[in-house]
Amino acid sequence: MIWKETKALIRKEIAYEWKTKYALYGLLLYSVSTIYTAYLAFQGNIGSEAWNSVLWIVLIFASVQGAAKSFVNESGARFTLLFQLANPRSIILSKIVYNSILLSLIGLLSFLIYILLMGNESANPPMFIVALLLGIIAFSSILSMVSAIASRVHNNPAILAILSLPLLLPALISAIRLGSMAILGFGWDAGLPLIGSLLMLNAMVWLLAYLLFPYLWRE
Amino acid sequence: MKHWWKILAALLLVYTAIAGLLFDVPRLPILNETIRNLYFHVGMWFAMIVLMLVSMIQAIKALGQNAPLADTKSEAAAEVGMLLGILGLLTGMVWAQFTWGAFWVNDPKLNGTAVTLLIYTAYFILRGSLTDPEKRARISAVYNIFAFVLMIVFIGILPRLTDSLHPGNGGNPAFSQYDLDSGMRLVFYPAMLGWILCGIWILNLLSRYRALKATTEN
Repeated sequence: MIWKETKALIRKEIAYEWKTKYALYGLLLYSVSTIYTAYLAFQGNIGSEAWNSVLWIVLIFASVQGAAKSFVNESGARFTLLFQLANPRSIILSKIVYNSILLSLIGLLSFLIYILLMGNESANPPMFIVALLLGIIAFSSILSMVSAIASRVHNNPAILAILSLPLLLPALISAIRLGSMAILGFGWDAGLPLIGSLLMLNAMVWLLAYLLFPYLWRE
Repeated sequence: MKHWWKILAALLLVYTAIAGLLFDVPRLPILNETIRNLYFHVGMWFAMIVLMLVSMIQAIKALGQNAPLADTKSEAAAEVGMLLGILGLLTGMVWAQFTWGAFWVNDPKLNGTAVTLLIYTAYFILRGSLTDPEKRARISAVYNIFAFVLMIVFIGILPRLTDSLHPGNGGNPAFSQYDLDSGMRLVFYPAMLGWILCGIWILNLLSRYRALKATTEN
């Protein structure tokens, strides 16, 4: 029941996004502009540690931007409609899955552009991509929940960033450490504890979102 | 005598101040006499964690029963926890200047402190941005629970994946290896209990004051 509903809601999100493509392109342009700013600021000479850090700074801000509008459309009449039709738990699950897909896509495209401009520094690219995806999925899950909280506040534009950035740091630090292992050419066995901790973090956030979201989803 | 624990808190803290500064401590390299900071800095930090836990438990209560008093207590506990956190941070920074040579270093425990302070400052800003009391109680309680769990992940689990400069981590001298024959435990445990009780006492006064103010305003 909840899976069927969640699937239908994800399809709705994707259809809606595809209809208003300018939002998607806007987000992509945002991260391309940020990467180009970093490219010009570093004047082309960037060490491997800074290469990793700058990419993650770009990704964290692109994720906050991307997740900011998660619940903007769900107000007024649309809120009432969804509130009556769907279980709140399938709503948050669908938002998490949808944001994960959207931001992973944006993250991978940004990564390609980043490599094109800044060069590739990582000695174990598959592990770096795993770090990238696990980090972004954790960001998406946390941001889906916090943007639901932030959407209830109407008079504070900075609220999503200040509420979410400190909460994103555990995921950020684990992902950056896994990324620097990939850059230094460590094997999978060395990265396994960090991959495990990122998976645990994701599972915990999903559980919390599943339990807590119904309390947010009323007027 | 239902106030016995308040008397106990006061006695324990007086004992901490006297015994903490006067009793004999082991002479360890680098740490020297600064090891006495353990009674103050670590004690305040543990008291902060306890108060943040109280804040989260009251937030769960506020969600479950829609009780305004639980919301008041939750906010007050976060405020007292924040006060203890800032005091713990300041005592730690002074200590760090004399043992590590800098007020701030890149250490997982310091990052944990910074994240904790950022999270709860954001919590107060969230509360300030919501005007309807019922809505404020519900939404800030959700953030409180969500943030507390992630904070525990940050300060409890991540430091174990990396090395810390803190005594006891990464081969640095710590009291626990030496104190079995020393009197440090005799001061440390009472000090911890004293700081925790003191924090709960302040919380008690603050939430009673808030509840009283709310009734007189209505």
